[in-house]
Amino acid sequence: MRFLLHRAAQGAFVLIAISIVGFLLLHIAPGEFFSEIRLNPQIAPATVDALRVQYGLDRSLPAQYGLWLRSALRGDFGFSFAYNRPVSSLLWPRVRNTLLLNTVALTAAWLFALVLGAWAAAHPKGWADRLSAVLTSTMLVVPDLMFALALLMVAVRTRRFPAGGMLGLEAAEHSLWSQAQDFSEHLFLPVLTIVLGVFPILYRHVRSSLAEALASPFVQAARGYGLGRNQILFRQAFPAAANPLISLFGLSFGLLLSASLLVEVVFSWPGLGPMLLESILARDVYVIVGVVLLSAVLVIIGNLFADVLLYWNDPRIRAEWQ
Amino acid sequence: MSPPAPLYNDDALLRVSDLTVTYRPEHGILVRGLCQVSLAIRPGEIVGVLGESGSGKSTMALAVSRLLPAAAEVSGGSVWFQGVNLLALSERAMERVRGGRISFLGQDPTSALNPVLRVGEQVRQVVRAHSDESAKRSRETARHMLQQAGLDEARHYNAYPHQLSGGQRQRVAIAQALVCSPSLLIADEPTSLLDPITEAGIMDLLQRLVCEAKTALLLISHDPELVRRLTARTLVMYAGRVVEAGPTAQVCAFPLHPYTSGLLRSRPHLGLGGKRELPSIPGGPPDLVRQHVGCAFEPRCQQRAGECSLNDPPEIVDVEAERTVRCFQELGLRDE
Amino acid sequence: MWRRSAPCDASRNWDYGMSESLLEVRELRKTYVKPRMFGTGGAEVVALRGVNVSIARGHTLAVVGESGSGKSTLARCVVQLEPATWGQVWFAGVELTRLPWRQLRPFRSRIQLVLQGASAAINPAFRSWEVVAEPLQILKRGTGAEQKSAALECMRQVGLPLDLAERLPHQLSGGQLQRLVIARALVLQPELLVLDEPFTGLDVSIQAQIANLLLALQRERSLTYLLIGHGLPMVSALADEIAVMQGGRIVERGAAGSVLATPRQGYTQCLVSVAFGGAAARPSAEGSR
Repeated sequence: MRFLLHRAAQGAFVLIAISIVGFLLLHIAPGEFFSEIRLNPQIAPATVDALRVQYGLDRSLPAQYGLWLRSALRGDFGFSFAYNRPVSSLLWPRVRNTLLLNTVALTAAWLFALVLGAWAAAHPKGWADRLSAVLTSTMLVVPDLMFALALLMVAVRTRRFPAGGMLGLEAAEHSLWSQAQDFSEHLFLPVLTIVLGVFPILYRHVRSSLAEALASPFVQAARGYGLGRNQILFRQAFPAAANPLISLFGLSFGLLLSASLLVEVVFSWPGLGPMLLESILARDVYVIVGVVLLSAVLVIIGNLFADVLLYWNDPRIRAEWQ
Repeated sequence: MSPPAPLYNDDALLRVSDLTVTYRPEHGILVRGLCQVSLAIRPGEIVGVLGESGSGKSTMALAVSRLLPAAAEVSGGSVWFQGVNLLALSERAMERVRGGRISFLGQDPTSALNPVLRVGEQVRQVVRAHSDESAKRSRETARHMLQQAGLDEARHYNAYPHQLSGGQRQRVAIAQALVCSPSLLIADEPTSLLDPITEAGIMDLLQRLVCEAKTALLLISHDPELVRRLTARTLVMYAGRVVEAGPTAQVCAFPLHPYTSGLLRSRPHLGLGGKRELPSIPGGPPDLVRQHVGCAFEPRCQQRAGECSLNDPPEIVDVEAERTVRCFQELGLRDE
Repeated sequence: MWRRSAPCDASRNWDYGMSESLLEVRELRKTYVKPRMFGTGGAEVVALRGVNVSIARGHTLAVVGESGSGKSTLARCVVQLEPATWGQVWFAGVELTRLPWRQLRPFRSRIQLVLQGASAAINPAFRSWEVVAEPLQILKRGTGAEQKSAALECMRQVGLPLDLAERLPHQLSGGQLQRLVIARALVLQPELLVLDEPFTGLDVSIQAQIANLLLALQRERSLTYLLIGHGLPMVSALADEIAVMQGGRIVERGAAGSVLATPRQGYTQCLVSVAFGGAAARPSAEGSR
């Protein structure tokens, strides 16, 4: 329990720090929301100034931050200049879509990594091991953007997959089953892209942790007691190799989230990615801070989850905390 | 140890004949780990193997349970266990033999236990590997075995290895080794990392368990005292060969090979005076990489003569006294 | 480094024949505090509970006891690797525990610690002669060539053949590693060697060789030894005095011969009987060891 509180407190601290840094960085970037409007000769400068006062942009930076923080603690994350709506209402549906994409991609990537990594570790230097080594090296080198664009091109050329978006235009009119089908068709390529980007890292770590566990003295001893290969792999090696993998699991949340932002933009997936891009281009301050914070929250929750798993898995960590 | 000629009458539980193991590390030079080692153990017997690091004693233990590392291979000889040729078994069949019929106890209890699993669970896994007992029954069996090994099973069944002391961990390892009632237990230096009182406790435990269950024990050690106290017969190994063998009492009282006598004398006896220089064998264990002509012990031997560096010494057998020695200059067999 | 000198009761006058002892330890106490994540304080482990020993120049004191009795802590506190919680350590008439860090420097070469060779005491990337020369390099004594020749000389004295000088530690055997660690301790020409379990993990015949080496070195260089060990047999060939530690205290002490012949305390009797081949005559020891 103390462990959880400790980690949660750390998380809150991180969030505040991120919001401050976000604010600061935004104001370092040149221009603000009204810069472009200013360039329009038909609008009088006085109007622009009045608008600025209305949106509170004339106050000092700490004052702006203080205002924002106070309302954020009440749940109100500010107002979007571009959309003229509260930030929260803008972001929640996007968060849902991003979460959907990320959860599916995370599960898929880890499943493949675990299965293939275990196979490779159990049969070192076999054909699967060597082939995977070559493939993952290649996958590591190719940038995510290239994968995304390449798959998009495949979609367009072959017409087997939709070229973006989340649901078809007439989706709402069809049955639930075909809606689900439609959804998964749209989901496939973005997920594939993310998985291709993240899988090699996960695979390598799984393989090396398991190989290390399989080479350790207690596995040798277990063989001496006649434990079979499967029993050794699943009941001795996996628990011992779990520690670094659980930490990696926590880290992979952050990795996937960053990768997904880019992929969402390429595939026009209505998640946080495109929103972030637009608001950066428009200098829509509060939206940007909101998106950054939300991403941070997701990553922190992911890491918290991983920490709890670590605590549960490793008796030595439990002993430290008691 | 029975000499090769007449004896395939087999009441022997384990018979190793002329076993030769070679290592082929990456740089390709062949190193002989074992050279024509023969050994026989009868059911329920306690046999000791005495030797230093590099003598091949651990290699022999690993070769019998077929746990040699990939770089090593058996290049000659045979291993028969209860009438079955162990070297010809498939890996799956061998898995059934290990733990169930031949068990292995290692030197370092800390690294032999999985740090993230509870010790009771680790014993239970051995039970499950060799029987079809239900989860509940296998837990009972594991508890019972931990109790037998001298641990308080109520407290220790759910403990993790890092919560136990070195002696307690070794007891867990003993429980794992004996829980499926093997016919033969091979113990490779089981107490060399423990302090003397713990060591005495562990050896007492081993002796008791092995006698009660009529398990044969192959005790491998570098400590002549340990071997002298516990074993009925002893083999002395040097540089991969058996240089002397016979009933323990005889070997310790009247050693025939210069190495054996040097080894026995280098362990100080408490009664014999205070600060003093100990008799020791000069030099260090042989470098097995270089091909050696003649007797491997010759450079360190006090009794060496010309022929010792030219030829491999022959094995001299005294069938009646059941003793053998491999030496040109052996210290007394011919006089008998 | 900030260092607090250990408090002690200066008014008590210990009669130890001080003029001849090279090393004296008075009422040494050491408590470890396992820190907690939040707040101060934590679980306390008392490692030493008032230990008194003294060693005369040229003599060997052997301290034996089970794991956890505090022997290694004693070694580290004597060498000033760790500050004691209470008590004094006197070396050649100077109270080391009262000295600040900087003033300890000249004493560091006079007292050396020898750990088990096979443990992490050796940098695996150094060649053998570099391992031995390392103390000279740290204290910046002599030129590179002088350091190397001093190192080779020490290696020769401990019986390591010179063709091992360029080898890496992992290429040496256990006995050779132990000799290497001893050579490294000798290169600064110390007066007192504290040896922490030098025999553990070595073959019996090699243990005898190391014991003989230590004896010869003691005679040649009039070294004083504080020998920490597990068991009595090896120690009996080297020790002038034996002290038995249990639970952070010295429970029996005396000349080697008399302690071995007539052990008075229960734990010592156990050790002696085990060394002679008897059973471990401690019923409470079963299951808890």
